[in-house]
Amino acid sequence: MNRGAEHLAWRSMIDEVMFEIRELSGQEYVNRYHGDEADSEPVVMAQVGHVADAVSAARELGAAADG
Amino acid sequence: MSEGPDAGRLPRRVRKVGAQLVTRLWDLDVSGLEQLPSDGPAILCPNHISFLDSAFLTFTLPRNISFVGKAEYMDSWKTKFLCPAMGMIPIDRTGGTKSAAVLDAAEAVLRRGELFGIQSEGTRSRNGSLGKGRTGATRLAMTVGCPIYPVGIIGTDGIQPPNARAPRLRSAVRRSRSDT
Repeated sequence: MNRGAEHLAWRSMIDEVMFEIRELSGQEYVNRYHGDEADSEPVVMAQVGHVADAVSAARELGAAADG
Repeated sequence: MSEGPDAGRLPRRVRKVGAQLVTRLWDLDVSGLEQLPSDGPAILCPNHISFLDSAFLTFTLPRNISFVGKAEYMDSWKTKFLCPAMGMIPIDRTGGTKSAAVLDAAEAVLRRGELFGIQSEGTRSRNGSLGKGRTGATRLAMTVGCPIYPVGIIGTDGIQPPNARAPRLRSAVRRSRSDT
């Protein structure tokens, strides 16, 4: 088993264990590590830009520069 | 941890005294113990909601168990003698090779046919939720070839919440179940 596959197996097993613990304890499961502060900070979602948005933004900028 | 003929005697005594103490102070509801093997290696994976989790689990099990605990417990006079007597394996949480050494120590425990406990969340839950599990337990189980028993602990956060200095006298519930 290569290292990637091995890690996937470990991850899959521990996820199953955590599922069982959730069933037993009644806790709400959150898919992040405790103490992982980066995950608790607000996330700004990235958006896919469209050509039309870029064109209208350029027009607005042009109009502002002319005005 | 001693490996001589007296190995396990001190943890057994501490467990016996601790069991009498906790059953007098709190109303414990323990189930699923019959699923634990009477001998041979096994890993117990409880959730972690209070400082008392490891102690309650240790005191209510019919066998000795070695737990991972943060190395800072060895700096406090309140825990520096009790934790090793209970079989705690200190983990240096600065990471790298220091925390990797814990897995070697845990593997030695399991190779001796003993129980090993590890809270896979890595630290106590501060908000009551169950966090993502770290893979140390499953790595050990696959290396040694032993079962993992998930354990659900309920109520210890009411007895001693994460920021409380001392426990309160209340009831606690613990449940256990097997999974290989």
